[in-house]
Amino acid sequence: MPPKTKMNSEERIEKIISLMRSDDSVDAPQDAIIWARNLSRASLARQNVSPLRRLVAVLRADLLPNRPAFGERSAGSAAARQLLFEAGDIAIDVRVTSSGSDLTIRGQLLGEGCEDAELRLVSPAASYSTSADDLGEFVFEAVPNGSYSIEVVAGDAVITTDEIQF
Amino acid sequence: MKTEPELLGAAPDIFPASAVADSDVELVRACRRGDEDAWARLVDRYQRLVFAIPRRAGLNDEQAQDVFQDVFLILFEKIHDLEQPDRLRSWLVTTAKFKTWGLIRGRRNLHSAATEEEMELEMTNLQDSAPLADDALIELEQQHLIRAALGELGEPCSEILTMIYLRDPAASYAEVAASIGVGATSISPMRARCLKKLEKILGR
Repeated sequence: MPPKTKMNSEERIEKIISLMRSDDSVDAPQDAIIWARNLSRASLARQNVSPLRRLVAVLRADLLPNRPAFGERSAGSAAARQLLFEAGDIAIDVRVTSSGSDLTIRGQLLGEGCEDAELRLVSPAASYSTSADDLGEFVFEAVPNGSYSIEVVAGDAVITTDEIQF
Repeated sequence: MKTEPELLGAAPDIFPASAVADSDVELVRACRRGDEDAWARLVDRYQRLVFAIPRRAGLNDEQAQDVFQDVFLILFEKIHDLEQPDRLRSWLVTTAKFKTWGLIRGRRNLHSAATEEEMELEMTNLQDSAPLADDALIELEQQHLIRAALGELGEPCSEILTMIYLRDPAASYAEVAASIGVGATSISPMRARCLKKLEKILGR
């Protein structure tokens, strides 16, 4: 292989211009970036980080307001849209109510290791965080109408739903 | 094992990248201390490069996103085990290449080799690694370093060079002048000075 000759300044600048002009890269999808940033919620300070299970939650049920849900009796709850996601041995039960201008998204994580889980509600423009209590219940309040995916970090699992128009 | 100048290929003296490497070392150390902001900065710094590699290899956006998530998940898991934090960029490129190759070969669950050397060895055993040829990866790395350097340029240089060279179609001098509030005849000499500044940053 012939020895590489050192470029002069003009040649380097031409090379830089050429690289800029041929740069067709784009940013990764915003939800992927947010997902990656959120990995730090599992403690980075631990010396031995157990491998995370990455799960995609599948939408199993989507009931519009005023339709009775499974075993649902409360008139108040019947006004909520109800969604059920499943990811392996974990389920995410979500109830969405709208005040017109914004949403309240309540729910419960069902499955082992869900108490004290961290949740994020993610859209391309913004994200909102909350934590589940010791019963796995959570709430996002005053959320603007829009499309969101739900991300859950529970134990050794990172669970993501598809984006849903709320 | 390839050294950094060899990995930079045809023009190693354009991008010594030592300043970037030093900055990566600090970021990795902060991540190891549990600094969540540092991790977010690390993701933001490299997200475009990591996403670009599977796309350049011809994968669609959904597949590229799979590679992207795999790479950052592995980095997250191995952040304490990186032996050479100053070679973080190289590690990310190699890991993305490895995962991309696995996807192309239909072996999505390919176990990641523990070190860069093991991944490189496995990939050299491929009959066809053309979608991920070294030249293509070198170009992507150099473009990444240019974008990072543009971020250090400050205004109006960053705006001038982005509008002229990174937009498609490229902005005219009149558009650039209107954007930064100067006369159109000023753009050409400003452009030249900004390119010199960019060259200097990349040469550190």
